[in-house]
Amino acid sequence: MQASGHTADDEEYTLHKRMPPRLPQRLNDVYITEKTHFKAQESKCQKLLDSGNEVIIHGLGKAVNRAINLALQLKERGNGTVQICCQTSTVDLVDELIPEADGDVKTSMRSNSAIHIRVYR
Amino acid sequence: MSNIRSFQNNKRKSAVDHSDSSNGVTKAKQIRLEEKNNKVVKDINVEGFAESRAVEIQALTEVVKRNGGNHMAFQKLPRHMRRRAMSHNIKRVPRRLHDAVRSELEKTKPPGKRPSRCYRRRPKNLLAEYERRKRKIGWLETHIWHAKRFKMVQRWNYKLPLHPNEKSIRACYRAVNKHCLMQDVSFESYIEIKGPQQRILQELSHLTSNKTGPTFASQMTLSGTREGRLTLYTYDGYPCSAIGPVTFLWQAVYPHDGIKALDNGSTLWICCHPSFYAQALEEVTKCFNKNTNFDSSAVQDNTCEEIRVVSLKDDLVKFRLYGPASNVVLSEVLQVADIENIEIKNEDNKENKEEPASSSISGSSTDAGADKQVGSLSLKDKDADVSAGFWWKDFYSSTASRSYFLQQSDCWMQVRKCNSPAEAPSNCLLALTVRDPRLLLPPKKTKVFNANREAAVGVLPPELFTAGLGVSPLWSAEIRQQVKVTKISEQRLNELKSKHTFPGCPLRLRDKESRIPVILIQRPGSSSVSSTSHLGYASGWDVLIPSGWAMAFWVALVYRGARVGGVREARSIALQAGSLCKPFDFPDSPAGREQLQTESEALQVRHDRRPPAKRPNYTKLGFQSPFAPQWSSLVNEWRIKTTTLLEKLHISEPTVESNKGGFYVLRDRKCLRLLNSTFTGNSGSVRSNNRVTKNGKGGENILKILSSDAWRQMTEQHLFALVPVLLSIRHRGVPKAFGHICLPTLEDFIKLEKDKSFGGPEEKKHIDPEAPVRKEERKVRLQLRKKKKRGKGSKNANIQSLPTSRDFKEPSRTAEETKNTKEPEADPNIKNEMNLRDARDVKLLGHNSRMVCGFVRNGDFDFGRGHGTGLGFCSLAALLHLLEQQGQRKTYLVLFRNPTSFQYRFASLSIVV
Repeated sequence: MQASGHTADDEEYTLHKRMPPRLPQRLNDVYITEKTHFKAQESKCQKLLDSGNEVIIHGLGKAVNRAINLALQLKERGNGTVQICCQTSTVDLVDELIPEADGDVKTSMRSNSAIHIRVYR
Repeated sequence: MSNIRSFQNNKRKSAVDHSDSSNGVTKAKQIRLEEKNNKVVKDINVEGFAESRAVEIQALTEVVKRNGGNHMAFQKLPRHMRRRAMSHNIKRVPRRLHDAVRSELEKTKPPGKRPSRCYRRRPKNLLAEYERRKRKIGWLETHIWHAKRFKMVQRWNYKLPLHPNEKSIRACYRAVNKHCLMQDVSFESYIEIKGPQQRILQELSHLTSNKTGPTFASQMTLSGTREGRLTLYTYDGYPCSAIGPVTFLWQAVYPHDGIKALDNGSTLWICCHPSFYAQALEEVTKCFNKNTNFDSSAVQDNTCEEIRVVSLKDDLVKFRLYGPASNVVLSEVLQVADIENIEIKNEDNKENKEEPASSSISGSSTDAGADKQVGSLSLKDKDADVSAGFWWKDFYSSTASRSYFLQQSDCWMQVRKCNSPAEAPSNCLLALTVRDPRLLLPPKKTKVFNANREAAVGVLPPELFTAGLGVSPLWSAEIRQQVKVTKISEQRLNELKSKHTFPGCPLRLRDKESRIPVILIQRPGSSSVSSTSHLGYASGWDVLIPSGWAMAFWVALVYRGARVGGVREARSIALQAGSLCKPFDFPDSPAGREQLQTESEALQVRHDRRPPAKRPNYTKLGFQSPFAPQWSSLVNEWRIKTTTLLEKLHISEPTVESNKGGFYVLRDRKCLRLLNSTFTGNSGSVRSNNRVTKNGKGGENILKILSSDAWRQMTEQHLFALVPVLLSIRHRGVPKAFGHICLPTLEDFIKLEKDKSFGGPEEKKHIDPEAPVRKEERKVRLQLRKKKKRGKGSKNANIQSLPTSRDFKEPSRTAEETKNTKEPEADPNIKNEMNLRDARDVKLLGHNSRMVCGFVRNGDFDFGRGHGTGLGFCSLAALLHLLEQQGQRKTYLVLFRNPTSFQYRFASLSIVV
């Protein structure tokens, strides 16, 4: 799950993941999550694409696959009119280990890969 | 003679004439004479006469005495004795009636004329009226703002906003999810404890248990950089007698002597909900009094061995902001104040330069004079009277405190750029000293957005969050008082604005502007590891402000587009975030019990108001108590039922019968996490060793797990416990309060496997023993109605002849009757019977076709997940059965049924950790 060395006190801490940092969200920025219904995300992106001719799809970690899948779907639907421009990045994430007993909080940093796909006409 | 006088006038006349002759000797003569003359009666024996007619006389006197209706005494006079204006002038009434009339007139005196609306609406009188109303029940500082826009209810000794008047449930959800929702939670008040830290910790350890998580002594909160949360118990009362959940702050430790001497002073603030504030305060004071044998009953201010417990009720204002945009909204409102002392000279010079210019434009000489006075005042301040209004000059005089100030403002500059409050460290504290928000108010209400703003650079560097972030002047009562007192009044501010050189530009008051100390407390919201809602939902900031400043900040926040919610919104947010809402979801605490009772009483009243045909028949539905969950019978019956299972698992039954027919909610973190890992397949801990449970799990495997050491320990200790669970609905349905959570049978699973869209089984219709009686009654009523239509003469005779169990004086039910005719419980005898039957035969578990393992406490449709969600409490023993039953299945399913329905629905279960 992560590369922290807190094996000894497994049971003593609760993992709390901080929210990953995000750039300010414009109207055509879509952040993909694993929990949202795929069809809903697709139709949302399609609408944005139709209205503004550009959507930027962001996916982090596990959602990278989904983001790629979504972008490709949009491209396929576009019948050759839609193009894709893809960038990858690394996002720093912070995990907080909140003690179950009267200890102090530990934080651990880890990195995760992210993808930013610009889908445009 | 004396008794005769009390008789009526006409009788008295005859009596007086002949009373002298009445004696025993003449009696015989009289009778004889009467017989002789036969027609003319000369004498009457008054005593005898009266005695024989005593009953009639009595009745007549009664009739005359009673005025009947709304008649005054003089209205009963015969017509010839009436006079004009008798009610105006009492002398016109016969003297013997004076007393009666006087007392009557006093009773019916009209209340003084209501003053005119114009008079009542004058600010002074209006405020006086508000003060009067406040005396009865607590008001928030934002009360009037809320009262115009919200449904106000009386709760927990406060008048609180329940929900907005506009249609806004979904809008509020969106605000939490996308923008910013806020609530005035000033009703949550603080208890201040001052004294040596070790002693405080030692005494308070009796009120908490380290099994429920970090306590007051936790390292992460002691330094004053984080807020802690825990559940309070009565003195050594764990696990049975909970008081309620509290949050607490330790005052940040000053590593220098500039501001405050460190030696003995630690300050702890405990924040309590008003529903159990009094109990908590009493318990805390008792706790410190116990060892020193102090017998002071004064709760408000208590001194014992340097430890002081002070109530800070209504001393602080607290706003709770939810949602990602709370960062932006706050960054607009909270502008860090300028505390530099050095610039005073320059500022004064500038002011002196500026002011004559402005005054020359406005052309008022008095204004210039006033300003000069203020200028000279600020010069005087430097000498000694710094505390007069410029507390910050004193407080930030040392370099250390100024360095803290710089750290705080740097941190805020970074944090405010973040896209969500959940990016900050969880529960972190950030003290700020900010400018007067009234001066920064935009001319119109706006909605601020994250987009097109300065972006955060990435993850907030951990160096930013130093120990000095919690250092705040807000901890000092004196400074709070000064900030409150030196607030420029709204009127003065408007005056200044109107005299401003460039209208519309922000005012620059420099030194005269108030500096307000605030403390921001982060709330992390739901974390994706432990809950099913999305990461950071309901995260936000709590803003602590000195009292007196609530409206200034409130309006400023509202003007930046923060939506406002009430108690209802707070509860629904808690449900969707999968957390417990105080005091509703703490059924084992007195506050929770009281809340439950008021709720169920209200439901009962609502039920009784309706006619039987228009309300559900809970007997037929199989709900023994649809308005109040039967926690204790649930726990006890399941405990009895588990004995066989326990034998199978080779677990000895709990030997200590610790609770007296009571129950408690399981709050042991280890147990809850163990349960959660078993139910959801992952644990909240860092490395989930318990994941094994899901791999190749068989019936025997689950038994093995249940008989493992950790489980055994838990079952032995907590068999009486209730476990808070979250229901996530599988297919259809929305759980409602006080519904049943039931164990499915094997047939249900077979049906579900055959048909994936199987909605759920149905409960059979129960037999209502009262139904035939009611049917009979209805028959009678119809007959009577017919009779009445035909003619009213023979009505009474018929009623007596008809075979009825109850009396029916009216042929059709009136509203009053409906109220009195509760279904089977209408008759007190019948009610008693029913209760007895409940107690003896009808058990909770055997009553319905599916066994009840818990009750829903709160449920609603969840906009985030798109289906129903519910929060309930299950018996731990029942959960053991559930695990045993469904050991082979991939997911654990339960059924739930609402009190008004026969339909069971499937839901999956997770534990609230």
